[in-house]
Amino acid sequence: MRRVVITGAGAVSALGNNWSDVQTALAAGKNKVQRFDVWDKIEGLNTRLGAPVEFTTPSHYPRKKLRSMGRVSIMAVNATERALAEAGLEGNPCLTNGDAGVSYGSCIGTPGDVPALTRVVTDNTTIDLTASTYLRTMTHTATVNIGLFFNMTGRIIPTASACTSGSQGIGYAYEAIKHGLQKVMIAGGAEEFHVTPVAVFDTLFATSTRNHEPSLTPRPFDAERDGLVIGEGACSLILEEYQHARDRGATILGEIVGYGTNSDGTHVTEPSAETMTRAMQLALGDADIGPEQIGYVNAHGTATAKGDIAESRATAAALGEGKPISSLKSYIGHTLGACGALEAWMSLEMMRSQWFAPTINLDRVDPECAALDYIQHAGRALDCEYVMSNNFAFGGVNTSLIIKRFSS
Amino acid sequence: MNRVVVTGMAGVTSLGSDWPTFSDALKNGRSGIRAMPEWAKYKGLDTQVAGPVDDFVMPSHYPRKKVRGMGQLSRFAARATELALTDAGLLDDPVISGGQCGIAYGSSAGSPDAACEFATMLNKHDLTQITATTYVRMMSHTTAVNLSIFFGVRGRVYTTSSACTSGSQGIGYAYEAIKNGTQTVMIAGGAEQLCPTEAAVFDTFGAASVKNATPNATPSPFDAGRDGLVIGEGAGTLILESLEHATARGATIYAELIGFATNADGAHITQPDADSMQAAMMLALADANCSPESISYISAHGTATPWGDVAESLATARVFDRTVPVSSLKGHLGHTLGACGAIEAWASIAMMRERWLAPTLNLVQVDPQCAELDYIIGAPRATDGDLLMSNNFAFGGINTSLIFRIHPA
Repeated sequence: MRRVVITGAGAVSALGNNWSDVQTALAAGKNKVQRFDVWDKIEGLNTRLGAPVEFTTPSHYPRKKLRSMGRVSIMAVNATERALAEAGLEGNPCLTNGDAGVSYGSCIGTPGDVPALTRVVTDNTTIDLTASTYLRTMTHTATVNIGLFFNMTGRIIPTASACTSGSQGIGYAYEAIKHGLQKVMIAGGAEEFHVTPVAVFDTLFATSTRNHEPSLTPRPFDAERDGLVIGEGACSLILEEYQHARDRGATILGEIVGYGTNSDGTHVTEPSAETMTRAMQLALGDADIGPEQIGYVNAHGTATAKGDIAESRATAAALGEGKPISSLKSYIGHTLGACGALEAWMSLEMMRSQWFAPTINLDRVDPECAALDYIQHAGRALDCEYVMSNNFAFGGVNTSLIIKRFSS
Repeated sequence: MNRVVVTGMAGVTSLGSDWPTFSDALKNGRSGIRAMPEWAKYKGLDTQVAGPVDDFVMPSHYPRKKVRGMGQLSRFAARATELALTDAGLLDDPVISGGQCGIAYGSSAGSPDAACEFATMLNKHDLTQITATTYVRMMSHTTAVNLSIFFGVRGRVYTTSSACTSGSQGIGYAYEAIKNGTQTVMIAGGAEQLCPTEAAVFDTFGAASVKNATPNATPSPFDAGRDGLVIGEGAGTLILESLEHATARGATIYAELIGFATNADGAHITQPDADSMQAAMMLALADANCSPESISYISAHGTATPWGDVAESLATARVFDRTVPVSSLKGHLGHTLGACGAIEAWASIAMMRERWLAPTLNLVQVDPQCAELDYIIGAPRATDGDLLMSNNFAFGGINTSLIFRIHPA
């Protein structure tokens, strides 16, 4: 079994694209949620809230490479470019010689191109369809486009599993290196902001409708929470076999030591605390550590009524009551396919800086939620060796990742 | 490292959903392709042939509550999986819901009708067609999630939606999960639901056959007169299991999965690349720790596109350096996209266990551009081999190669 370390990370997020900016924004304690008046024209849509990223396509991306890329792929490639730069792997032969692969996902491809595809059926015409349409709409579009942009020839692991796309991206990449199948993996997830996923959660009555107070929602674990807010972003981690990283003198940011993933097997949209607990226990077993060794838990914490209750109870069951926990979705909303990667990265950096962000807008913990040490109101100084990052998807897929502070 | 065996196999295909019916069609040269008069209304769609599963009826014992979130795509997958679990003697076995069993399954896209409901919302700014199940039917990992819920599976889920390698990556990643000890049993495979939008996508690449007047004569993989692929549909499921678990419960073992590799060409999203295909096959041989000489049959991807067949045959010839027996089942079924890797693995194992190999239907004269291989033409071929390789290559440059050692019937 090989050790798997993190040697680079890159992000596109509403809080910033590097840790320094993100930490400043987290410390400011303000969310990035906006009201969208343009959605007033959509019949049946209840929420008007979203948390988009100010992002423009880098001008140095060649037009030929951009043809098959929608916003989700461009953000994913941009995050990967930053991650490779931090890892010092830009142009490294390992990317193109088969030693490096991609494990990445998003909930959907670029939704804006879907109507061009479906017009074949709805309007009986292929007129809007170009050779690139399917490539932009297919769910593994970010995965494939990263591989092509950086000319990678290793394995591709598509991890489109809704809200666990990013965390499964990291988990399955970790296993590919651990079992000796690859030396380096680009791992993560992305999602582009679009009314489509907003409408999906709206039909489930899972969206927040505090449409006149965007700065006060979402409110993970708060008694007054009323649902999630959709965001967007991308995050790529460079995972590397320990010896490979050492041999090239890379700076090691942290180590992935545990991954657990399972499924509920019961209901598409009803979370199950029992299998969430099991996922965390699987990760602890993989890391071969006890629950007391986890110093901080980064919660999925979407701010839906049922999800937060189930998650908090599962966390208490797996790790014990009183564990420090916070949800970064209170700042940037639910970035769906990106959240698992963004949250793992931010958890790693919070551990490195020994400062953990609070869940904002968490004023009074819902008494239905389990007794955990919810970090509220202000950041917390914590010196810990292990952090756990949990995610739970629509469809009942659960993931739990354990990241260790690096020590050689 | 655990050894991984196949103990259940089934599929839903345009040529039948049980092996006797399907194998009879393969042996006797029956095609699952027909003309598509229902596509005549689509302006700009040149291809008017396809391989639909016309006789699929959803079993009446499927509870309504469980099928709400299932489009036709997930229903194909559930049926194939139910048949495969039954075949393995594992339907309702506690191992399925105990956490030791996972799922690795994919498709090129979700159910197309659900995507249309969303397009309507975007075009008409109206949410009223959207229901709670629309996204569940539309999402590309709809099959994996629906199978998990339908069969109460609580192990890990791999969503292997990677276009035409969805089914083969499903089998490959499931194999690695058992091999590395994270699961004991895996439900593995892929599915696809026929949709004119998929045909239109290949049409825009000039990759779809337009032999609309002679549907039974197309596609013709490796043939000099081939003019492209024909879209099909269906599902294929293999039940993979650790050898130890299968032996302990006295299961019938159809084959051992001894090698898997997957890589990417990193070069072009739609142009196949012989070098990386060759590398995938060699990586699979290395994983299986066997020589090219030991392989007795290759189930080719062979979609019948002009460039794909040439690249694949060249890559195969370079690896094997001899005229190894090859055929493509896409001559019979067309390209079932997300399902093909699993249906082809199922059929290849079943044929070889019965000591015969199907020919490539519609292959009359091998394209001189294609490399010299032992193309099985015209009639089934007898075999006494034990090892087969099944290859698939996807849009997006993803390659897979699987190697099975069959246990004779």
